[in-house]
Amino acid sequence: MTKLAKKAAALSCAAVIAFACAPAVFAAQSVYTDGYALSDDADLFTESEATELTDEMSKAHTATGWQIIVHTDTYGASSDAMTSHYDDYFYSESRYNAEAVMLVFDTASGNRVILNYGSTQSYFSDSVLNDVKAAMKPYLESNDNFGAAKEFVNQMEYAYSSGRVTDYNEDGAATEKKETNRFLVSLSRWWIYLIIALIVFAAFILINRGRYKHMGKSGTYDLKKNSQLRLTDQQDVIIDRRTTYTTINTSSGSSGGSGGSGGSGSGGAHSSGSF
Amino acid sequence: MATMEYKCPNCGGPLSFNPDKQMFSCQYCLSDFQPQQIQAMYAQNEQSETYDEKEIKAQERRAARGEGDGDDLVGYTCPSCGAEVVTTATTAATNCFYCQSPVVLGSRLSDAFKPDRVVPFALSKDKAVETFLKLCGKKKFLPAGFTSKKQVEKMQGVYFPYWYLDEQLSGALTARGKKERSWTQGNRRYTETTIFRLFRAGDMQIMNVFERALKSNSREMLQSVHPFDLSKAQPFAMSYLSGFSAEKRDIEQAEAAPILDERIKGYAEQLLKDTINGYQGVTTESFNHKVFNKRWNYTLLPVWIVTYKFNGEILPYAINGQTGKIYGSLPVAMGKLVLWAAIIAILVFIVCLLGGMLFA
Repeated sequence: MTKLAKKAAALSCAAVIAFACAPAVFAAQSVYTDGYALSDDADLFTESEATELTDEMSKAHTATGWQIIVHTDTYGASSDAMTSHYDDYFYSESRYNAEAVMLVFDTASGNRVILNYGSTQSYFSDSVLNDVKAAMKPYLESNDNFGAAKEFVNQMEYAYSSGRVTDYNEDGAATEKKETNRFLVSLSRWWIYLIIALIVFAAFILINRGRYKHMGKSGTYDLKKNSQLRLTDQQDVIIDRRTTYTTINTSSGSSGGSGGSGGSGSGGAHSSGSF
Repeated sequence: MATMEYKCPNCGGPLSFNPDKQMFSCQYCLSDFQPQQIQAMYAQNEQSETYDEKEIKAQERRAARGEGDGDDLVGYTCPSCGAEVVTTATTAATNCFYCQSPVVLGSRLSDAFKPDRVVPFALSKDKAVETFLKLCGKKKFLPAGFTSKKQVEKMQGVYFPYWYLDEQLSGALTARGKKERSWTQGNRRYTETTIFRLFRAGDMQIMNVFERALKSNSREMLQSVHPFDLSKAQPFAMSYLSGFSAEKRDIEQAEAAPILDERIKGYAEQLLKDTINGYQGVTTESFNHKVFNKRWNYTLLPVWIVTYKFNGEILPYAINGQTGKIYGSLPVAMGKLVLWAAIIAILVFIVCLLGGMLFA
């Protein structure tokens, strides 16, 4: 073989090796299982970092039951478009489970976002989400994407152990209201309901007994219908007259002041009571 | 005439007074007769006194003196079937227990015991039963059988005796009352109070003041079935009792007089007081009255009666035989009532429990 032919053969082998190796490295950084998924499209993690990260993700999945997803991208979504864009991405990936938590690094825009799906939303109250972000912040500030991703995965157990919240909005922003067993809470007030029920019981009996007790009013005598009167004398005589007064306080516009009495006297007889 | 039976002039069947038609009706040939017609036919019999009646009166007098066998029961012979009709001492009309023919015991309502007037039944038994069932219809906690046919069939029309008293009297009332008037002058508010002595005198007529004349039934029941429309009263005739029961008085006029006099005195004072108008705080200082004339009426009034034995107690129900007014306390089946109350209380408890979940 000539030197040229040997060089060409060596280059071909190198190319083959290079092409053969490239899918192997990509495969190591893009892993999809039911328990977790890593798609490092922005090529942020080394192979060993990816392996370490997927180990942690596997543990987090075991502890929470959620699919833990870390996705890196170079799309360049703005802060406002991050959620909708990567929601669309999540739903377009049939490999992702319904119950999942996804961390996205968009290296083109420098934005990061944590997204929840299914019932995992009910675990991420504002305070839990803030705690997770706070734990990741030191790594992000030092551009340690692997450290941030690993901290994110580790925080999943914390989020799970914090428990579910009962209410969250459509964007997955949970309120602080903890879910409780309403029936048990209501049952704890049984004595109030028992008192109400006993009052109803007693009232029902008393009202019905009363309704049955007296039927028919006692006999009434209609005096007007059964009598006649012819007046033979009628006198209305004044025997005393007294006048009293109270002083009205005009300055304040209200009445008041002291009272006094006027004279008294007896009058004569009036006839027929006309006054 | 110990007993009277009114027979149909057409077929000889027993005649009863029909409240719906206000006539005498024969249950067999369905003939109807005006009261005057029947009274004219039996007037002679009602007024005659037979050996039997004398004997029965003697029997009653012996019972009154305590010479009898201790009970107040008196026996008569049913003129229809010959069965012995046993009644209490105050029963004046009944039905033969054997042939169900109406029997009027004339001796109980003759001489001094003859009523002055009678208000005939205007409400038939069917209408009385309908009135009674209407009362019971919406009551869910009545004992089982209270409104059964067997129970309402026991309803019986009874003429109860009452004393009625009309009085003519004069009275004089002295009372005290006041009038007040107020006015404003300058910065003063004046109030003038004038005290009056008020005198009223007048002649009055107070009529139809009533009191029961029978001790054995509850006074409350006998008084509560009033009022009756006495303009419909008829001069007493025994024939009106045919088909009904009737009671003879055992409260005499002298016994009822103080009660009625006191009541009439109160009514007279009220009449005079009612003429004082336009005064405040009227109080009576004195009242005097003088009775000029009294007229007593011994009256039989129609009442439908049904009784019900409940928890060892006999509960009476009385329905005014003229107007349908009802008296009586309905029995309550406590078991049924408590069961329903418990069910409702449990439902309320459950509703509270579920409602409480909304606010938990």
